[in-house]
Amino acid sequence: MTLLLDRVTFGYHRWIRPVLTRFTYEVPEQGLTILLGPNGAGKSTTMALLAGTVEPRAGRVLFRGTDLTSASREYRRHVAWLPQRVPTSRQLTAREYVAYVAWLKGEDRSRAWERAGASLDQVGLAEEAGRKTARLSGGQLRRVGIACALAHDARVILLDEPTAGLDPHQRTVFRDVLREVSAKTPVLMSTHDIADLADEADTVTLMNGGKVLHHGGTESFLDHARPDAAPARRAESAYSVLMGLDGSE
Amino acid sequence: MIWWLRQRGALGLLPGALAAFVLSVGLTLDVVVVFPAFVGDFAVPTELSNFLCLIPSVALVVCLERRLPSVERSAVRRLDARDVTLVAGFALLVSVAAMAMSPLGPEAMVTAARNNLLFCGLAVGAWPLLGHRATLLPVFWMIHSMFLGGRSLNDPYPWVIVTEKADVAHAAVGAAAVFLAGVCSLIFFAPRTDR
Repeated sequence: MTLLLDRVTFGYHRWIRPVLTRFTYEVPEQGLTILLGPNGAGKSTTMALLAGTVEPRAGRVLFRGTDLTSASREYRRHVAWLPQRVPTSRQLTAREYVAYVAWLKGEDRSRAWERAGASLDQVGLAEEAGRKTARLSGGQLRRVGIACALAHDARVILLDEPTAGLDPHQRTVFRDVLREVSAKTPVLMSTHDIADLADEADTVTLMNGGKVLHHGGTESFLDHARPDAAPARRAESAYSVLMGLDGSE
Repeated sequence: MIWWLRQRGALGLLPGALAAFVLSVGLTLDVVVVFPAFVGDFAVPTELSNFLCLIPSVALVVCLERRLPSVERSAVRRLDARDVTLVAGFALLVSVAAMAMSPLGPEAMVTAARNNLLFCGLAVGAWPLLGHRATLLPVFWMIHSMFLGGRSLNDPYPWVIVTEKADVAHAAVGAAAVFLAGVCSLIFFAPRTDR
């Protein structure tokens, strides 16, 4: 077990109904896991809890069996989080930005700088290393986010809707990078775009209304598709069936 | 740390603001402006250099706005203490620089040093609540003082501080208190970059 939300309750305001109530979710130990669901399903909240940027009202976040609250520093060192909107900087180049994040995660300066160069190379952005992040495209910025995770040897990578707003080419490039990275490090990626499932996800979790509707391998997810669904539409069909949108279940 | 300093503008923005403040105050010594008192009883003549004390406070808010919350909040290294040190250190440095220039005009420079602390305290203290709009608070204070701050001719109300003479003790104490309160607000209410 790597990362676990254990009976977590969380809401953004005390006087509003919690987004998650006694919610339990375990991030698979390897491969790419897609956290799927419509807007407002609780995906971003789940990601924020796992990233440690918000604290649960009740319940625990466990990393390798240790409660996050008692091992906060260690936890933060090993978890990389790419938020929905990657903040840009007019002051820092892509390499400096990645090095800055690695330094924030506890690496010393020279190692952070060295790893930043190597990580950008790994995500295919070596030529953009000297450009300011504010001048990078959305797709390049997401890859910079991945490079940040690689630069500090993250044990788990959390990506919050990283493909939102990317054009088809940028998506393809991003998926290629993701496939390579998830072969070595477990990646949890939230999305509301079924196309992100494509063929690279190892596990699919479907959420709605703060509850998990499905959690299992991609094939077991696709098994929910209607028998008459065209092969290219199986993911959409399975999604509709599980969400109760097609009236068949 | 160099990247943190660059991100916050400690190598460009803040030295630039310091230079702009020192130069502009030095060039506008003894230039007095008088605004009409629209609501208060008396207009308060004010040295132009008092307005220039807004420069460092605006620079500090810009500096704080350069935080990268979603990146820094999941960090291991603690940046909150560094940010507070940078902000408080810069505000004090500006005041010391103004005091160091007092041979040019003792009254104006001491006033500038005091008002800088007041404005920086207001801006920094309001930042956790107002974000970038915190720059408006010192401006509002300045305008408010100009139009409503006169008790009688050349005699501002004690709360005004900014248009008081350099040797008025309660104004100095008030500015220092506002500055300290601003720093405390930053320490206790600013969104933390780690826990």
